[in-house]
Amino acid sequence: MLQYTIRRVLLIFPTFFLISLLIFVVLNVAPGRPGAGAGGGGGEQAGQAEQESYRIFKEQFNLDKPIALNLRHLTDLAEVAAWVDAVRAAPGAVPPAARIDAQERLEDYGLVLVPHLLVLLEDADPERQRAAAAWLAVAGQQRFQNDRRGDVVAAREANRAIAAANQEIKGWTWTAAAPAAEVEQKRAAWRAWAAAAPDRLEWTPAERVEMSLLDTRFAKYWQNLLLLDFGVSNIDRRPVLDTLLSKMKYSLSLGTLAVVIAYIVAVPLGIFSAVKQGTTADLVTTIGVFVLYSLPSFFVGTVLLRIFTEGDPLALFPTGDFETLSAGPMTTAERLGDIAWHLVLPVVTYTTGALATLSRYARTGVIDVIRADYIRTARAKGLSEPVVILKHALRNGMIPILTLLGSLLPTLVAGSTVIEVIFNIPGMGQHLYNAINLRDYNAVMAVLLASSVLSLLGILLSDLSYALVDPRISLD
Amino acid sequence: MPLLELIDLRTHFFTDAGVLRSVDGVSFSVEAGETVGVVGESGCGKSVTAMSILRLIPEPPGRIVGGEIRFLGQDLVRMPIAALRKVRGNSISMIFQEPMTSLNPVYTVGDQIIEAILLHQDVDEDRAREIALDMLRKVGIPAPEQRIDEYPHQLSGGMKQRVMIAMALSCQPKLLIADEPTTALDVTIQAQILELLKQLQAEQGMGIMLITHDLGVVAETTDKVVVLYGGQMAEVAPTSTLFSSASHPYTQGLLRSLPDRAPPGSRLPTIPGMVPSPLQFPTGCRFRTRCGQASPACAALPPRVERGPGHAVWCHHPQPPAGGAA
Amino acid sequence: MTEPAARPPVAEDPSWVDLIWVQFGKRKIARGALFGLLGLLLLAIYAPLLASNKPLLWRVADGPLSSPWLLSLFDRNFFENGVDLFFNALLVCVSLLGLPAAWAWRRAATLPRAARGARRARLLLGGIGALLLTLGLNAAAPQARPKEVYPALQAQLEAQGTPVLAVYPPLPHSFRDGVLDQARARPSAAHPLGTDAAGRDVLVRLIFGARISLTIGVFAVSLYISIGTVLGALAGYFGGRVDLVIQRLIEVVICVPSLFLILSVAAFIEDRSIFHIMVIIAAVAWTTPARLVRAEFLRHRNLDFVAAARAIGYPQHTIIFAEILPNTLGPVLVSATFGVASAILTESTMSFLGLGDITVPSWGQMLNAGRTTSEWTLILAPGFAIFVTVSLLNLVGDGFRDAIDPKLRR
Repeated sequence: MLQYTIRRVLLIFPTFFLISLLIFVVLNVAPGRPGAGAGGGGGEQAGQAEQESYRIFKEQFNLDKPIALNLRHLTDLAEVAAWVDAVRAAPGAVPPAARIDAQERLEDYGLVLVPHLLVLLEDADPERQRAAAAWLAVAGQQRFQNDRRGDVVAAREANRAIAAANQEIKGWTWTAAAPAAEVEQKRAAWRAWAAAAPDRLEWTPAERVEMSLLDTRFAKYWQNLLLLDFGVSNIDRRPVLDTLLSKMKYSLSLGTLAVVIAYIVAVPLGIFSAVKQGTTADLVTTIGVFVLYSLPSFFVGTVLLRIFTEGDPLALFPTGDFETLSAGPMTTAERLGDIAWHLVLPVVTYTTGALATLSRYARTGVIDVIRADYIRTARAKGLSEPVVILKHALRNGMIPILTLLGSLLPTLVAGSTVIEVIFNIPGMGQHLYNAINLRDYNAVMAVLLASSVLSLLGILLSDLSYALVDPRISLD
Repeated sequence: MPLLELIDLRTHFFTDAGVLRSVDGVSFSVEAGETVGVVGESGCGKSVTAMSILRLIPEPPGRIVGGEIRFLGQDLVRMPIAALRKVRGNSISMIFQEPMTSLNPVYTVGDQIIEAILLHQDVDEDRAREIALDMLRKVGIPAPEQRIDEYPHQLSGGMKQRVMIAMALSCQPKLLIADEPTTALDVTIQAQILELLKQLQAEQGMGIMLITHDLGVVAETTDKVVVLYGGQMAEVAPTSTLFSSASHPYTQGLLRSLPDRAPPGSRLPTIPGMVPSPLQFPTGCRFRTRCGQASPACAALPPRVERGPGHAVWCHHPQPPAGGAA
Repeated sequence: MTEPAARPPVAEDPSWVDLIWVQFGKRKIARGALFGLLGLLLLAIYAPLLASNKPLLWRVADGPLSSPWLLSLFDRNFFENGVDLFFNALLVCVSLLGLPAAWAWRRAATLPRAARGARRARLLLGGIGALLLTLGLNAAAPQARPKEVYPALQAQLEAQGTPVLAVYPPLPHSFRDGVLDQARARPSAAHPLGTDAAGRDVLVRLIFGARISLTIGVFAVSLYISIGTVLGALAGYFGGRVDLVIQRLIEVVICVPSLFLILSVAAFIEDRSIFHIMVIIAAVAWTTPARLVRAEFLRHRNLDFVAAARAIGYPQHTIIFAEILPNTLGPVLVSATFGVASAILTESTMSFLGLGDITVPSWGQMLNAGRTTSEWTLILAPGFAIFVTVSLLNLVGDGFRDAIDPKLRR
């Protein structure tokens, strides 16, 4: 049992890695540009400054890197020349999509372009030389250190030096009208710059392999993840994990309350229905549960809100929020009462759905068991009906219900987007909803990863509890 | 006064498809210390009869609609359920066909035996455990001290059936109802279990009602045989009488189809046709659709005909002992 | 115990499908729900016949009699959405071929089983062919019809004193274009359920919403059942490494809370259409049939009849498709029925949260609009539409499950 538990806990890590890869890839290949809304558009029409800030934004969130596999170091001269030409071609000569694609590549590829651009710098065509120098000024930029840990002062010092170097090479470009002497001087500057650190522009095979696998968005993300750094929000620039944890308590209190109530009501209801199978009481219960089962929670929530809140027939409850926001100082008891008052409608909404599922499971579980031979044996022993049901049928019949609890764990903490949105409860569900609408990448990733971890734990818990209840299941 | 007496027992099932008259007028008795075999093909009402005695029929759809079940003079059919529970597992015990599924998988075998002992005997838990260990030893389970804390899935089929027997006998019942106790087991285990039952019966002096479709088992273990067909009585006779001078065409057919009775090399005789569905039982004698002796008279309920001491047959045309009967 | 009732004497044993069908038919509620669903399908197919602002018949003065309604069915400028064009093609095919096809289907019942299967397969293929042909003709047809607003045109002509003959469907409103000065009208004879904030008739949108919900449900489920069945069958039949890889994949997908993933992916797609939504739902939900099929394969792989098929020397694909796969049909059918219900719920939830296809009259989106106006009809109408559809599907699913489960067979 212990051995099994340890093995399962260890298995969580590779599974989590695969999950993070899956989510990461799915979110990254989904059409639409992440951060386009926040950092400024990157398109052709974007102004120079805006384009620059979007480029820095991309760099900061590693969006300039390929998703999971980096083969950019295999780029050859012909390709680079083609991109450079595509971007500087006359309007209409190149399809707009191809132009944007070429521009993005030149912006994103960084140092791997430099050797090829240096070759283009020696090209016979002066226009090409000029374009090469312009792109060198982009590709040759050093990256700032975004590490928020460690020696902040030293990092700031280093970043200042990087900024100065970047500023210097930005000056080594020229306009079409520039005199030949200026052009020659700047080309010489580039040659000197390249010769100053030649090993920076050459890669050994080992370095190439490392670059392929590790110089990617996913690898960079994971490097941070290992340090429990989920990155910062691109909306408020705060660490997304902090925000996430602060949201969890709302979802947790709502979810726990609802699930506990659902279990307290559903299990006896299911048993009652199963024991009375075929009677009118069973029929009424089954129909009632069935109706609840088929009612979408957003409908229930909307209707409850319409009936029981301000301006409605029965204005008993507030229209939303977790607690009164502008309330003065309250005692703990008052505050709890206030929260409870706010939570009545969301909990009822939440419970209706969970209740229906649970009591259906409970009923089927007990019905399956109640016909079993060993129940007949128990009766033949002379046991009374309550003992037969509660001791012999329930323990077997509740096994499916128990496994359900494990699968409820993630919803418990992560909450329900729909209910939190309807009732304006600032939990994880609403947080995710806001984050996806604002394209807050890191925040979305963090919510998905956190809820996946909870899922994994939930599945593990339900497997373990299964083994505890059912001696037939041997885990070793 | 017989230990158990069934008088015109009728148990019907009321389903959507119609009323199944699974047991429709069954009468016989079991004396203390006696072993009574109840035989018949699948669906003849053997098991329903057995379950009716302790009123274990799933209800609905089943219901005992008529007749009496007299146990030591008390009618179990009309007994309040609370009083009946004092009989169940105490003075009447049952063992079932499927040892694999008849024990609750989530409790140890000891728990399940002790539960019955605590229920019916005025003893504390330690004493109950001793009794349980004693019973397990009696039914021939090796290392009972260890087995008692094991779960059913850790035991073999034969062991489980032994546990069932230990459980059934732990309160020294006066009557044991064994519903095909050996059907699901290997032949060698079968013989061991039957031998065990015989031996325990000799020790405890209980009556046994042994339900089976195996005439070999009947011949070896029973004192008296009840033959059922389609939920009705066909024939009842002391075991030796039945094998020597069966009178009901159905019983004769059953006996003829025993392999050891057919001449070597010949085809085994069978009873033509199939047991009709309980929904489609013919009126009168239910065997008449398959019976070689049937006549228009058989459309009426067959009369009970006494053929000798303890030997009766329910038939319009009782046959003389079949030729070649041993 | 009692034995199962003997079958009534028939010339041939009923096939497994027949048995399930008979069992299903015995469940009155489930059968009623199936008829309800059929009604919903017909409602979706014949939606334009109930509600359209194109007149069925139109004649100006003594001019030629025309039917703008009929022409509009294939008007890609009017019915912009692929779903509507598909249903319109269905409308034409069902109207023309429905009755003869039903008659031929019934008649096939008297044939021996092999011939019956072949005949019915031909009928089915013929039906699909006719549908594809209609769709193809529609795609090939020129689209240059003027965008006339007939009720306005009629009023204008009549004001000029020109007699106009115009016969409209019972609800003469467009499902798409609202009349702004009639926004948020209370229920009346002209608008039985009132109008929404854009002046569109709620009942009309509700009817056309059935098309969207059914399409989402059926297509998303067909898609993921196909994916899941193939992967599950591969895993279950081959076992070993194939199984390991597929199992891992399933495990990874089920660990991610599906609604969260669906919402996130949907939000990152610009210009979502309902086809995106179907694909997203399918991409998350395929694990259920995959696990079912895999489990059934594992169960059947070692059963005698498969061993027998192997012993005879049947090729592997025959064993998979002819011997094992049919046995998985039952559980998959049940899960598909519930799957349609949950796909419809998922789509409604997405639309409710504003992450659906905003160009189609989705029930969830209508409810969301109703929530902000808090108009009772706007809340209850779409809510009940979802509830009824989901209930019917769940009832049918329950019926199938009971019919397939031999334990419950009476």
